[in-house]
Parts: sequence; structure tokens; C-alpha cells
Amino acid sequence: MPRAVSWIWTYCAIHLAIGAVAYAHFLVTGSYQYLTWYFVILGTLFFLITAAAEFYFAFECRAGFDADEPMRLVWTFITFASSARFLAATLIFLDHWRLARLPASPPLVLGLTPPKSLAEIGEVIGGPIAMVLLAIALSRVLAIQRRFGILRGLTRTDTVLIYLIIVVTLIEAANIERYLGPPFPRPSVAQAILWMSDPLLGFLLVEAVLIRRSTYRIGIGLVSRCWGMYVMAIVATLAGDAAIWGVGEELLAQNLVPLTWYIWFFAAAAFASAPAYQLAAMKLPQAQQGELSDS
Amino acid sequence: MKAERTWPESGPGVSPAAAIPAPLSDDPVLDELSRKMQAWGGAWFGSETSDTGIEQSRVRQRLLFWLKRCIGGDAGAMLANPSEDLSLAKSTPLLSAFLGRRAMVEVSRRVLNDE
Repeated sequence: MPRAVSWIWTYCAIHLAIGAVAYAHFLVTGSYQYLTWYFVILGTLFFLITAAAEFYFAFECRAGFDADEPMRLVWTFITFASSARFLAATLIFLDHWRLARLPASPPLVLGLTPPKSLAEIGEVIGGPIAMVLLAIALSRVLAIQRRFGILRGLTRTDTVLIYLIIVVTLIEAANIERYLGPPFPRPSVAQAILWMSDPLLGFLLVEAVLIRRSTYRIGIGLVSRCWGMYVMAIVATLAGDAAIWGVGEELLAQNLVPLTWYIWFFAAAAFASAPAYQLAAMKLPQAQQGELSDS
Repeated sequence: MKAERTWPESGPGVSPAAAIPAPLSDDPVLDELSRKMQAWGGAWFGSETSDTGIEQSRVRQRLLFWLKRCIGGDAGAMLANPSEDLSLAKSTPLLSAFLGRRAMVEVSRRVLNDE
């Protein structure tokens, strides 16, 4: 495993171990105090650090390709997607800062209170906007894989899965339509954009399935692991999204609800690991003979 | 608009001139050059026959190592076919596409020079 990937997952493991302690405290005492501190402080910091790492690795990968190479465009869009996620993490961090209510803090004394809409803007940028950018990048990867004969045709299971995603998306669209009527307030632009998250995630999942097929064909290597990590990140995002829906529909017991929030840490770690694998593949030929067995 | 550069040509349509044995001449320098060109051609384009030399076999092994590590464990098998052996010329488009041209230059150097 490349060193950068190893660092990301070690950090994730330590972070989750601390989270497990906070969750255990919640289960024993019923108090949300430590759990809230964990998600608001350490959780936000985790998202900021992993998003920054993702952006750095993606930017380095982009720099490794010349302007006329097809993968340059892929990494340009992935860099944009990761910068959108970083911006979103920053905005959400600022929003938590607003909620921190520290009466004597210098920013509040100076009147620098961030606006209330920060979290919503962050959700839009880190959600649908980042997804669109990633979807463009992945469709380009699929086109390149197709050119090399790496891309395999769909199996029956893939086709069933794709139809299932289309059906779920249509059901959700019908559900959204219910909220557009007069008894409900007119949705904001941000809300309307956020409604696009699930169809976009469905589209990303279809791309992820196709990429997963192609990674089977080329076997396990640094580049195939890079795309495998994107598949993992998309599936984790989908699981997190499904969990939000499940919580909204009150399908989960109250004690289990905080567990669903941990899914997002896996998604963030997988998003950061993907470009780290690609960068490791690009740097590997420069490694000394002795270092090859370690990387 | 700037035109996108196309993939380097490879496959049965490309005939490596260096792989065709050159007739022996009286000039020892020309013979030496011809021999070197053939050796280089063999290393770059691989052998279309089964009687590959030791050096070519080493080059092939190193190439497989890099394909396996960088791209994927089955990338070598995917590129090779029954009529044509795996070669640098054949794997260059795939490696350049996914690693970048600069990294590919480094891979070629290591495939040809590493012990």
C-alpha cells in the first residue's frame, strides 16, 4: 500500500476509534455531549484534512499529464470536484464555528458572524456540484477505457441494477413532486439543487459499476485501485444518503442513528485515497530499486 | 482549437523495420550498427516468434512487473495475444494513457536498463 494511502486509512482508523469511544459514552449515559463534540470538532477537522489531501493529490496527478493527454482533462475535473468538497468542508466548518456560541471569542466581538446559509451552500457545493464534476471525469475515464478495450459489456446483474436505480430515481421524483404543491412553501434554489443529489448519485453508481467491471479485467494494480477507491467512495456516499433517508422515515432506532453518521468518514477517506493511488502509480517508476517492494 | 494528439500506433498494422534482419555488409561498423538496431528492435517490439532471446525475455519480465504494479495484475495478459508477444511498443499506449507520457518514459528506461 502506498505510504499516503496508508496514512489516510490509519488516520481514519484512529478517528473512528475515538468516535467509537464517544458512541459508547452516548450508549451508556444517553448524553449527546461527547458525540456532538466528536462530530463537530474532530469530524469537521477530518473532512477538512481529507478534502485538502484529496485536492493536493488530484492536483499533483493533473500536473503529471501533459496538456494534450486525454487523462489531463479527467484529473482537471477531479481536481475541481475535490476543491468543491474542500470548499464545502470549509463552509460547514465555519457554520459549526457560528454554532459554537463562544461569547468571548474575538470573531464575535468583532462582529464576524458567518451567515446562516453557509451550511446549505456547503451542501450544494460538496454535494450536487462535486458530483456533476466527478461524473464528467468518470465518463471520460470510461471513454478512455473503452478505447483500450478494457471496458466490458454489462452483465445481467448490472442491467438489473441500472433499471433499479432508474426506478428508484423516478419514485423519488414523484415523492418530490408532492412537496411542490400550495400547502408547502416554495423551495429555495439550494433545496431544488439538493434534490438533484440522488439522481446524480444514481448516475455515478452506474459509472462506478462499469469502472468496477473494467478493474476486474485489468486486475489489481495501483491504477485499478485508484478507480476502485472511487467506486468505494460512491457506494459509501450512497449508503450515507440511504441512511439519511432511513432516519427521515424513522426506520432506525434512536440509538442507531449516530452510527449512520460514521459512514461519511469512510467516503471521505476513500475519496482521498483514490488520487493517492494514482499519484503513487505515476511516481513509482522514479523509485529506487530497494523502495519498490515497500511501495 | 488545439488538436488532441492521437495514441501512438501499435498492433499488427505497424511493422517494426528494425526487426527485419539486415543483409550482412563488408563494413564492420555498419554490421555493428545493424546488429544493435536489431537488438533494440527486438527489445522494443518484442518477438513475433517463440524463440525469444534471454535479453528479450528479461525485458518482457520487467515490462510485466511494471504493468502489474502500475496498472493491474492482468494488464499484461490483456495486452498480449496468441499471435503477438507482449512488448514495450504494444504496452506504451496503455501506460502513457493511464500514467502520463513522462512516467512512461521512466518506465521504458527502467524496462530497458534495470538489472
